[in-house]
Amino acid sequence: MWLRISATIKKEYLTLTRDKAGITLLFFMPLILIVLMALIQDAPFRDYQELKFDVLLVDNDQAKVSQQLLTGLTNTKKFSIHTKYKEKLINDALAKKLVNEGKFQFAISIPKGSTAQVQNNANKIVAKLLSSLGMPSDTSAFKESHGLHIDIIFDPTAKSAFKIAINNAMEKLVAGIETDLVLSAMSEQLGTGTGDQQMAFNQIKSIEVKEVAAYDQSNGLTLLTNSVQHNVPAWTIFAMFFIVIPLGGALLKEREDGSLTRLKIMPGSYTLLLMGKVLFYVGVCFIQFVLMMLVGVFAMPLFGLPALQLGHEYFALAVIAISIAFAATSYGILIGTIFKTPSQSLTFGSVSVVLLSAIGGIWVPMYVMPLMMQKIGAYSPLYWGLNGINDLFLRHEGLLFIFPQIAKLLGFSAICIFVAQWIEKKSFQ
Amino acid sequence: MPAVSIHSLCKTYKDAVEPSLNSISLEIPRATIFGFLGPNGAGKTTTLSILCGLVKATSGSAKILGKDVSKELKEIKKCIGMVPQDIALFPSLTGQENLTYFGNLYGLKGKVLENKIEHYLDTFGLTNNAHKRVSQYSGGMKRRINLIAGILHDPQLLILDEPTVGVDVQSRKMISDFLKSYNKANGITILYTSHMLDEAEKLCDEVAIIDHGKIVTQGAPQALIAQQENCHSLEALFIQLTGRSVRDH
Repeated sequence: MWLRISATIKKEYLTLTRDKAGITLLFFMPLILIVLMALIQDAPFRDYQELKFDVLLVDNDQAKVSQQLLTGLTNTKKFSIHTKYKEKLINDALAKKLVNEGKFQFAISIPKGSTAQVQNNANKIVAKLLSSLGMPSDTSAFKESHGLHIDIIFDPTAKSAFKIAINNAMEKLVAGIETDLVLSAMSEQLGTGTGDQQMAFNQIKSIEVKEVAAYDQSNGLTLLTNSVQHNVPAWTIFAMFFIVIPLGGALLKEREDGSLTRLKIMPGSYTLLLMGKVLFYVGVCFIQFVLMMLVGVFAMPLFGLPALQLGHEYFALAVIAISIAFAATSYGILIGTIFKTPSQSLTFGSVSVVLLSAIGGIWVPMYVMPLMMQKIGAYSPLYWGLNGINDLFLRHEGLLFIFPQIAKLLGFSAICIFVAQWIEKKSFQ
Repeated sequence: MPAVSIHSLCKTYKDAVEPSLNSISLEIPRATIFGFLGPNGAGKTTTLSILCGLVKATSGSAKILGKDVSKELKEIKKCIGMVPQDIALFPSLTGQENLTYFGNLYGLKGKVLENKIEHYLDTFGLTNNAHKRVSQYSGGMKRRINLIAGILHDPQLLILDEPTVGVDVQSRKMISDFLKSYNKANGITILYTSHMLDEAEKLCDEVAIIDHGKIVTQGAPQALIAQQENCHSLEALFIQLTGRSVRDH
């Protein structure tokens, strides 16, 4: 039995190593793919983390609110504020024009009288508060609100997620300014306008929001949210599934040149020959996986990206990688069996892998997809693989935790081989 | 016991209007070279495919060396060697590597396999090209390697589907001479299909001509030629029995 399997592995090895185009497709193209995808997809990650945006500020207020907003935006270190363009002071019309032309991603326009209105509201709040406590307050100067609002003008191509992030940041800044003014007004009304008492008011801070890990960080595990950590595993799985192209093609070639007929006539089980083929290509996929992980760890920093963190569960990582390799290889066997010409197999194989990856969360995270797509995507073997690796890399779980993903991948592999065998048997009868 | 015994064998493929085999019966004596001849689409390949277990018969029975094809295929596969019409080799492997692979699949290994390969490469004049890739071989060289791959395990019945198609005269002569001596020296039964009727006439002890899924005649070539009026060759006999119309199956 082993002689038939080992002979097939050796034959496949010799065939592959003499096919330079095949080697390039299997090993070098995926490496280029993961580096490129990590670099490209690094930008959206940096949108909200490290990137600095050029922002136009139209200051029609020229008072406390606009100054504090400017200070607040500058302090975030995410924005480079421009109030002039080519030495010309920016007004609303120019801001809209420049943003619409794509020269700036967004502009903020602070209306005239913003400070006065915010101050007025703050005084009104404080007066009502003091009045309700039975304390004297001066409410004579209150004016009606004019419904002023700060305008944010976005580049028409800006993504919704980006707009939401900017809107939230602005809301937070404005709320902070309003709170500061309320506290200042209260300080004035209570007659604590100077000295330690005023400082005490100014030091009142609302509760801060801080991101913490969902897992125990005592053993040095850290939160990993960067493009490398998400993209390298995702595109590695995608590339591994592209084994269906050379494998399906090789099977069809054997069918076309008559070798398959000879192999089927020979004594012994054809399943053993298929097993040898599967084992060889599983080995190829595993080597692909290892190479791509090494690129993630060692080559990504050379491109200015963070290094891939593999976690601590190396054995579990090897098991999930082998499971993905089995699923990909078996799928290739099925494709090579179902279709009768290389062009059919090539087209269906590549398109189906792209589709399975799209619904499986390789391109965009599953949670942003419509509910129905999420339900369908949960049946993609690429999703099971990615979930398993994310469990190890990002959730820092172990083998037991990812067992359901491993079982699904191996189950998928067994079904593919079974169906391929059944079709093969049927076609010869 | 005959090498091959076929009784009322029928085969109708799915969606086919007419049967490919229409109740054929045939006996091939042991240690003979048997020519199975017929125009394109006559049913030759279907018959061979049933004998090798690649296709299931619709009805009837076929036995090889006394073993039923439908029940004892595993045992039969050990006793037969098949040389398909296609060059069923791996072009990126060398001749030696191809033969080693097929030898391994027959369960042969080590020195035994090495010696066999060396012997056959020498017999077929391929020793000097053993380490060249098959893709670099000429048509004749590929045919010879294709043949060796079918006899490495010393089969008792060798089935050849047009083994000399598309080769030069020298290679054809070499293959014919080998088959004759292989049959005589080892008592191997050879079942052979070909459109080279002059070659079949010289090579075969017995022939059967099949047309439209039915055996139209069977016997020793010279006896069949003698029985038919105005007939001086197997080709003339073949034309008389199967007609002159071109078969585009």
